[in-house]
Amino acid sequence: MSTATAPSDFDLLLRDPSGAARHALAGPRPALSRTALLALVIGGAIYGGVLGSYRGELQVLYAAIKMPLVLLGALVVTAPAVWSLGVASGRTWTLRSVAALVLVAAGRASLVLIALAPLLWLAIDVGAGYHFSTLLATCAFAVAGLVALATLVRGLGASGALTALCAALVFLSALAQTGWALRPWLGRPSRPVEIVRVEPGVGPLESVFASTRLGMGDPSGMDTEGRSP
Amino acid sequence: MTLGPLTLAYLAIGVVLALVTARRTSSLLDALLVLLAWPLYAPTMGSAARPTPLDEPARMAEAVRQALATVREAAEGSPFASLLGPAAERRLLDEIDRAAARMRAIDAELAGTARACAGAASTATTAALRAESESSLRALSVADRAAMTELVELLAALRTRIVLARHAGSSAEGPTALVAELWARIEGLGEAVACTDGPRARTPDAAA
Repeated sequence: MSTATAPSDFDLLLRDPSGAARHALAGPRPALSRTALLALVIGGAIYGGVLGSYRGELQVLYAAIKMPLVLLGALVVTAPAVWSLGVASGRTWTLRSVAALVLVAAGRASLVLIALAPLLWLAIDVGAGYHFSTLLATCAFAVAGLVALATLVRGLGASGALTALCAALVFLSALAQTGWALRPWLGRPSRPVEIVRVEPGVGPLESVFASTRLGMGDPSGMDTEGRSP
Repeated sequence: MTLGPLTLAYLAIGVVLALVTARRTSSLLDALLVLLAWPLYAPTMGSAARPTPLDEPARMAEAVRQALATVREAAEGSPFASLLGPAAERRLLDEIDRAAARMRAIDAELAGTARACAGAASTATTAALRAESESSLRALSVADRAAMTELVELLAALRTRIVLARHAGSSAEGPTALVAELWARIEGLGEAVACTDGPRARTPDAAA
């Protein structure tokens, strides 16, 4: 015999993304926004901690602190962008409802990051290399990002898909920039633990290409810091 | 502006908003979250301090939600709890949300049409077409409102039946028949937009 109970905000976020997205956009529901923001902070911290476990020591703590900040930094730019795009295309969304929807999408993506963190941790634990671990971390981010995008589209509706795609581009640009500015995340064992690396490096996009190439075993070209082999 | 002053400015605004939030909501957690992410979280907090009055569709949807909650409460811990399982309840709430959104859209459309047509000269054919469309929209709106009201009454009757069956030991037929009737009404609510949304599948636990 099952006892029917009203789904909590966390259940809604975890099991009913359409409902969560609709509730966020339809009306004021501060408890849902709070749950999503907490999921974002906790999920980001867990995932950051797992990234930092590659180098270990204080890098775990630094990455756990920096990851939620980077995610929030990118979202702070994304929410007004979604709202502006909506207003420009004739929608009547309020900034409040768009901020709530963006939080719900990001909160759900953070739950996906929490789910994928053990896989990355396992890979690091069994000896995955620096670049391969970076590649795995990027893939996990991509999966979480797709989940966030799907949640956003569920909230905005099919006609808001273009707005959601534009929002994803804004988010990715902001995330890449803030993520690169606050690196290192994994931390190379050959380098001392540092909270933020001051050297300019090759930039966020080039570093993903370099890590992909090096992670697949191709040592030609420059590494992520711009050094030749 | 470098990162240091920018961070200080961000935190200064965050501290002010966190203090305001703490005073209004008496929640330390909310104040901390506002301090950390005020550009995102503060806008969503507005309703906690000053509730926005609900429009009529939202009020009707809320009435159905409350009636459903009383049914759930009455059925809790009894064999009738399975009559409206979590999936069925979610489906019902989804339909209610859709109906409320449709009512809101129709109201907005009717208001917009009235504004656009005020003082505008139009031919007899155009005016007749417009009047016909408005009449259809109004009929749809009235039907939606009536269906929502009936749902609330039906849920109240279901609650009474469940209470009766629990305490008087009568058969489960009464509540089961009412649940079947409830789903028929929900289907009716969905059928109004079936031509645009496509066919809907019945919830698996609806027939339980």
